[in-house]
Amino acid sequence: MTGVLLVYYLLLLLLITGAGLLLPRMQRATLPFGVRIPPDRVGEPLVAACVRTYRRRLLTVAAVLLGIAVTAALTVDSVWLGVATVLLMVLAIFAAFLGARRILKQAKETEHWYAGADQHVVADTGLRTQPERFPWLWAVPAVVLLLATAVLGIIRYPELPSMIATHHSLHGPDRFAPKSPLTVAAPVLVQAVVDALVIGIVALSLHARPDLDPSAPRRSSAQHRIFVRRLSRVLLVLLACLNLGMLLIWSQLWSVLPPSPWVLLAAFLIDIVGIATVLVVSVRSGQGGSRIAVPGVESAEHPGAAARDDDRYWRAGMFYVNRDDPSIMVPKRFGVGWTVNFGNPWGVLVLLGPLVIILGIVLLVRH
Amino acid sequence: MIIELDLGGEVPIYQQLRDRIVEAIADGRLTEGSQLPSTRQLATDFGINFHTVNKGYDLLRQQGLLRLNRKTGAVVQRDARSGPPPPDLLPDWTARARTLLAEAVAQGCQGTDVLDLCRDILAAFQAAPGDSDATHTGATHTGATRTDSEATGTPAADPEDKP
Repeated sequence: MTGVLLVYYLLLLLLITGAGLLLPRMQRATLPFGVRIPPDRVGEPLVAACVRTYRRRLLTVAAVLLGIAVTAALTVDSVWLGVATVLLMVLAIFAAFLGARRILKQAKETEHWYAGADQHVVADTGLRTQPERFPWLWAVPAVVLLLATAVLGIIRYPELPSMIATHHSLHGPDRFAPKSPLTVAAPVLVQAVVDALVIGIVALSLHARPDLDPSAPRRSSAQHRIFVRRLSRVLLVLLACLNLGMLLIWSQLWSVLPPSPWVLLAAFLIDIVGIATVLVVSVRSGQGGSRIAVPGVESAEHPGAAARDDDRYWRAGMFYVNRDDPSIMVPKRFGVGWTVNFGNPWGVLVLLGPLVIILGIVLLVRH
Repeated sequence: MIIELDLGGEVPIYQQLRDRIVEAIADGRLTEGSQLPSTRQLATDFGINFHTVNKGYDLLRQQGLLRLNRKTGAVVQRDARSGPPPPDLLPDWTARARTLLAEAVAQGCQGTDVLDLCRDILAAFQAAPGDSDATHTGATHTGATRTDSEATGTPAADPEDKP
C-alpha cells in the first residue's frame, strides 16, 4: 500500500513540476507572471530573463524534493514525506511566480511601461447571443460511471459486513461505524456532490467573461470559443477518469475485486492520465486560447491598443477583488482557466458553497 | 459584433457604447431584430459598472433604436430599412449636425472637402455588411428601401452649402 502511494506521489511531483515549468508558456504575452504590460513591451528582454530565473528556481527545488522523495521511498516507510514534497513543490511554484512578478511589476512602475498606453476594453456580442453550449454528451461517461458506482453499492449492500470502515489509513481501515444505508452511501454521495459541482462550474465557465485582446479582438474571440470548447470537454474527461478510479477502489472495498495493490495503482494511474490530459490541452491552447492558431483572421487588427491596466484589482497576482465588476468568474492570471471575483458575494459563494456542502455531509456521517 | 471602448478617451463610456451600436445599425452589422446581450452580460464582458451599460442602452431605447427586456437582453428595434425616420428626429439631429459641421468649417475645412467626407462615410454605411457575424435573426423588412439612409443623410449638406 505504501509503495503504491509513494509511486503515486512521485508521479504527481513530476507532473506538478512539469506543469510549473510549462506555466510561462501558457500565459498571455501581455500578462507575464500576472503583470499587465502594453503590447509594445511584449519582447522586453526582462520578461525572458524572468522566465529563465523562474524555471531555474523550480528545477533546483524539484531536484532537491525529488531526491528527498526517492530517499524516503527507499528508507522511511512514510507517505507523509511524499505528500509534503508535492505540497512544497506547489509552494515553490507560487514563490517563484511571486518573485518574477515583483521584478516585472517594479520595472513596469519605475520605467512607466503603461504611461501613454492606449487602453481599451472589447466585447464580442456574438459570444453572448450565440454562446457555446454545454457539451452534455461529454458528461455522459462521468455520470454513467457514478451511477454504476451507486448501483454496485446497492447490489453489494446485503453482503457487506455489519461494521463499515469510515476512515482509511495507510495500514487499512482504522475507523468503523455500524452498517446503515447512510454510512455506505455517504462517500458516494460526496462524490456525487463533487461531480455536480464540477459540471456546474464547467457550465458557469462557458459563460464567464472572455479576456479579449484589444489589439486583436476578432482573433482572440475565435480563440476564446475554441478554448472554452476544449477546456469544458477535457474537464469532463478528467471527471470520468476520477470516477473510473473511484469505481475501481469501491469495487475492491466492496469485495467485487480481490484485494491487490494493483487495483489502487491502476486507479491512481487513471487519475494521473486524466490530469496529464488536462495539462496537455492547457499547454497546447494557452490561457484563453492565446496559443491556438486561427487561420483566416488578421493577426493584428489594432496594433498598439492595450488592455486596461487592471493590476490593482489583483492581490498577489492571483486573487481578483473588484467590487465594480459584476463578473463572478474571471480568467486566471497565472495558469489556465478561471478564478472567482472576491469582490462579488456570488464569487465567494461559488468558492465556499461547495466546501460547506461537502463538510456538511462528512459531519453528518461522523455523528 | 465586436464593440470596442476607449477608456482613456474624453468621450464617456456610455456614450461610446451608444455610438458604436448606432454605427453598427447604420452599416448593417445590426438589423431590426438583432439580439444584443443583456445589460449585466455586457457589463460583465467589459468588466465595467452595470449602470454604465444601462445608461448607454437607455439612450438607445429613448431614441427608439433598442427594445430592452430584463430577461432576453436587448433587441434592435429598427434599422435603415425599417421605414421613414421618426418625425421628431430631424430638428434635433440637424442642430447636432450643424454644430459638427461648424467645427470643421471654423477650423478652415473647405465645404467641398467636408461634403466629400460625408459622401464617403455614407457610402461606407451602404457597403455590404461583410463584417456581420451572423447574429441577426433575419427580420423581414417592409416599406422603404436602402435609399432611406441616403435621404436622412442629405440634410447634412444643407447647413454646409450656406457658408
